[in-house]
Amino acid sequence: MDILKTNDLSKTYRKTKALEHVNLTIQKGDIYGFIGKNGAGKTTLIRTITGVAEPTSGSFSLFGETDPLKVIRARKRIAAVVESPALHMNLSAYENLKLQCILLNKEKPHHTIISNVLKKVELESLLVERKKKAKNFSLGMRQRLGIAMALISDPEFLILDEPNNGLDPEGIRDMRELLLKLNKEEGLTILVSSHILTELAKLATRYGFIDHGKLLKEISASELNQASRQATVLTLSKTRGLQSKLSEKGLKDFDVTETTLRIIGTQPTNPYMTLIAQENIEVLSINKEADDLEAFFMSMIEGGR
Amino acid sequence: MKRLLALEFNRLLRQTSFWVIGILIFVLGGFNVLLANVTAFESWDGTIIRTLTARSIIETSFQLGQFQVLLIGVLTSLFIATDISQGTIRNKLIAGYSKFEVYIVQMIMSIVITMGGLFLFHLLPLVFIPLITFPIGIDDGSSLTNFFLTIGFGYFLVIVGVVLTTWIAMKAKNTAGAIIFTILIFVLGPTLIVIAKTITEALVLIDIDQFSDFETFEQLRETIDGVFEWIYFYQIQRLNGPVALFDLIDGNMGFNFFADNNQSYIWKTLLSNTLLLGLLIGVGGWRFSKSDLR
Repeated sequence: MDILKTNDLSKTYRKTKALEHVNLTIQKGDIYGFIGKNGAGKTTLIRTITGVAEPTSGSFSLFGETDPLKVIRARKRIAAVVESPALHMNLSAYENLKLQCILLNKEKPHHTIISNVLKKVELESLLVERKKKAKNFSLGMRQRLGIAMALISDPEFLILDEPNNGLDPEGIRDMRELLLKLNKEEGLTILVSSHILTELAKLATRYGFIDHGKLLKEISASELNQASRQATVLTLSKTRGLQSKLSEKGLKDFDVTETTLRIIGTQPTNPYMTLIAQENIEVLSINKEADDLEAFFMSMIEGGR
Repeated sequence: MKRLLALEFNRLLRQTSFWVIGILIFVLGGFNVLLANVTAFESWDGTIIRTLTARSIIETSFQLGQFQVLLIGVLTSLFIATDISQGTIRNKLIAGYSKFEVYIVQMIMSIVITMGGLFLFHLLPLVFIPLITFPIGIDDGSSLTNFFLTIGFGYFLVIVGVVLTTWIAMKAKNTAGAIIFTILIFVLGPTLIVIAKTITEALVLIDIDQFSDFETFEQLRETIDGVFEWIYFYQIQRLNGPVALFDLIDGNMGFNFFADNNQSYIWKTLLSNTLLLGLLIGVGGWRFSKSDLR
């Protein structure tokens, strides 16, 4: 089932095209990693889906609803942290969560709901520090509180815009574990935009690459693995003259440095190993390597694929 | 919408500015009643009145009421613009409410805040202060109906003014901008109108050679004067809150909402302000629902 499907969605701010005919699909159960540089259009797309901004043209469906009025009501099934967490800075975490309970018409007692959600994001300490105002929180704590507020609605689809902003390494790890847990145990569909690609690579099941407002590609994590350029890297005792000898044998897809021979792709390594043995070169180590998400993304925006 | 209203009331009660400004308005209201009592007035029949009268309350309101309306305007701007600048307005959209619903609820809240101001400034002090100081006496020829209709009329004008402030706060999208615009409109509104009038006259009338005769020139000048006078008396007066009621005082000797010579002013003002209120709520809401938020 498609949770979100955009159809030629475009957004223009005066003369700037922030989104250009974006066709994106997020299916139930996905952790969708939305990747793009700053200003690529990630936040604009999220703002449009959440109703903060109006699309210039095109449309989108949310839980299969396309009628604008039904889309507004369908938003009850989503939760989002767009840009910075939307908190009442002059109120405490508890009061912020209480207001959210009132807005979402949660049944009383609200205290139980608030305790549960604070436990989920590991902010139980705020139950004790009831008077500490949100404006005195660290950026990381605000981020977690923002997610706690989002989770109060028991959403089916969670949208997070740069959730790792302001988090320390431990916080980033905790966030990843929380999202994976929510996805696996509660079946939550998640859209995460980020430019910390190493983090997204550990989390996402599907990716969307956006640049200059255009969605360049959508790919699943397994497809990404297959499409990634692989190589076998041999560290050798010497490499002098190796390049020309390999070329004489008709071999092409390789790189030679002072100490390494990089055999590109999944080609057989036998011809290389035979020549190395004939030349009495010692093989110090053999490693397999593959393009990471960052390399893939860079090649995407450079038009390499 | 019920949940949105519940949220807004809860949010309002948690605002420090609400309590500070509320107390300030109540103190001003109390001071207003005391001031009304100590001011001696010559009654319509020539006797000297040294008791609280409808007229004395209105008269002293001229001095303090303007400040009260400004405070209401600032509180409303602060309440609404903070919601937008902190981004908490987004929570309402994500909770499944339309921008139009959010806009209407903010308008309702601004009206509620204004009515709260009326209660704190005029009604509560009128009930409590006379109990501990002196008796209230509406003895200048006015009935209580007359008094409350006049006050109600004044507050209708205030409501339109505050709704205008709310509209600006929703457009300003940041707290500082909203407060600055509110103060500009409430305090400098009449001055700005005079400046606008002067600039318009300068632009339109500067080239005197374009007029065939002096009479045409005078007619155009009078038309410009008339337009700005209309804006000033029927629109800008509302920003002064109870000061607008001055027009209902007949010859500065007692006031009468029902007097024939007040009817033209009352109806023109009611009509133009109702129209403006409708535009601010209807068209303003429609435009807001099509706009992008921060």
